[in-house]
Amino acid sequence: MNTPSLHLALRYVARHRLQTWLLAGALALMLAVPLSLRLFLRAAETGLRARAERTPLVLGARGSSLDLMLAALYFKRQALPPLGMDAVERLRTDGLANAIPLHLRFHAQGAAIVGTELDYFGFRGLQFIDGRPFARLGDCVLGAEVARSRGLKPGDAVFSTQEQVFDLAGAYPLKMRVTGVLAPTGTADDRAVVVDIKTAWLIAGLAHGHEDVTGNAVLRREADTTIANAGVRLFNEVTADNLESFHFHGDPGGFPVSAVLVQPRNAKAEAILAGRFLDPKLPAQLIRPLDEFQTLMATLFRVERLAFAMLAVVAVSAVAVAALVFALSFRLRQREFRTLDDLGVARGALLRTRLLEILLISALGLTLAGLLTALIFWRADAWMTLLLAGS
Amino acid sequence: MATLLAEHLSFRYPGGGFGLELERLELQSGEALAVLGSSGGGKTTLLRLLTGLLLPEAGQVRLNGGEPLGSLPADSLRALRLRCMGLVFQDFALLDYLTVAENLLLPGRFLGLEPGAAGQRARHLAERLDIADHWQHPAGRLSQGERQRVAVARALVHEPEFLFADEPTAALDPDRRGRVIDLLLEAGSSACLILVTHDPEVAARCPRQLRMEDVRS
Repeated sequence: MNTPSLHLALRYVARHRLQTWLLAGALALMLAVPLSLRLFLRAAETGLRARAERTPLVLGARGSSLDLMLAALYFKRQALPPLGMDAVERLRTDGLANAIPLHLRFHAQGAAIVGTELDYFGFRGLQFIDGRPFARLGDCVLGAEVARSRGLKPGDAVFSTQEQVFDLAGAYPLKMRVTGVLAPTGTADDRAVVVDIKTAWLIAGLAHGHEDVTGNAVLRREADTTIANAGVRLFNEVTADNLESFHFHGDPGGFPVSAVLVQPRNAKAEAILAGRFLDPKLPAQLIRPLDEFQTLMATLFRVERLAFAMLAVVAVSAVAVAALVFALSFRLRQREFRTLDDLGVARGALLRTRLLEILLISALGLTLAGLLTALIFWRADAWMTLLLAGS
Repeated sequence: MATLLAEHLSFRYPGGGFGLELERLELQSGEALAVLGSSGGGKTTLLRLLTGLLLPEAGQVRLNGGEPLGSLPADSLRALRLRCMGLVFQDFALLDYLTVAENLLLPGRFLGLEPGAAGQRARHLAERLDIADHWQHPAGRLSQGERQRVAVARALVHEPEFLFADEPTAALDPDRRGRVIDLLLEAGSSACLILVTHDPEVAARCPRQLRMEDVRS
């Protein structure tokens, strides 16, 4: 390598920082965008596929099977029509499968509240880095990212988000006690607030706790219902003192469930269950998340191919523009190169100086592209989870 | 001992512009020649012919009795210019993005000179020409006079055998003009110095003078 040429090229690149960064940035984007897109999809596919593979079947109300899969696995904000809790009980009674209900309607500080049962922790292989699982109504367990980003720990409290500000009869925010924090998993569980499904029903207004309704507070009594006046205080937090006052109204079999994670006992049970829900007139559907996931990825890869075709055109244009910029830059600096020529600097050295400038800027562009791609690759799982969870 | 010999030089710009006819010019180490004439009179053209930057239609220029410049391969001619000649251009021809120090050391870098010694000499020249305070300043930020002095210093750093200076004092005040001429003549004591000027006072400092009226055709 000719050192004076390298010195000149370095000095020029260093003194013209704006031009250098603009060119390097353009080159970096040209390389990083298609590369990152590919790596992002591949990495996301690997991470997300693992979750789909670990979830044999999902039961939900008939409708979009993709929406059901995205909601049940990645807690995507979806207005799923609910099933009744009796659907879960039927699956359990049959003895064909384990069934874990999910209630996915509410949020707390931007994180999805996942109403479920203790079996969920074992099913997903979730570990606690702090605290313990929920033990009573109103308790919650935080995903690692929720706890980290909000600075929460066991003993703190989290409020559920009120759904409808103007509905006076609607569900009020529930102050939930944090009992544990999950270890990071790189999945949607990191961004969830996990509660007992009864707590989710409590948030939905299907249960409540209040002061004793006695004396003047009683407006009238009907069969098994007491109508009280508005002076009776409703509790928005479950404590050891008021726990006993919380009670449910209505038939528990009709309480809503967004989806059910189904673990068939064996292949035969899986086949029986699949056959049972084939009829499109049934209000429920049983899906294989892996099939839905593969359909989703096939669509994404088709989009990726289309994006690649367009990016190829953009890349060719970008290379042409970069070449033009270099050519114009060298043309504008003709006097400078003539000076070097007049001083007696060899033609080869002048050519090397130009080439080294192009190489230095290209190397900077490559480095930027590498960093950008590495960043995207590193965060692909998390970003895809976030993307899928977005409303 | 360095010698410059130009014989039967003939040059005319394409399109019927003015031309030069120089029968003979011989210069040896320690000799200083001032080329005098009015603006546009061909002084720079003569200098470019003598340095090989322009090639004559006829005649030849030889340095140290070697091959005529016109018959040397282009790369050899460039190498000869870089190694043996110190050139001060009329428009200074500095690289604006380099510092004063980097501009002064530029020919030395391409010549492969030992950086320590070249750096010391460059620093010494900068001090003598009153530009040492700008040592680390980009040349693009200097005044015209400062740029001219940097151009003079750059031509002297590698101690060339042949010094060609085209109007090296045009942008300078009388005091600094005197210092630049002193330095050029001092360097010229061991080199062939050809100094183009339209200033009779500067020309008077050189023992030999050549008037463009005598060579223009």
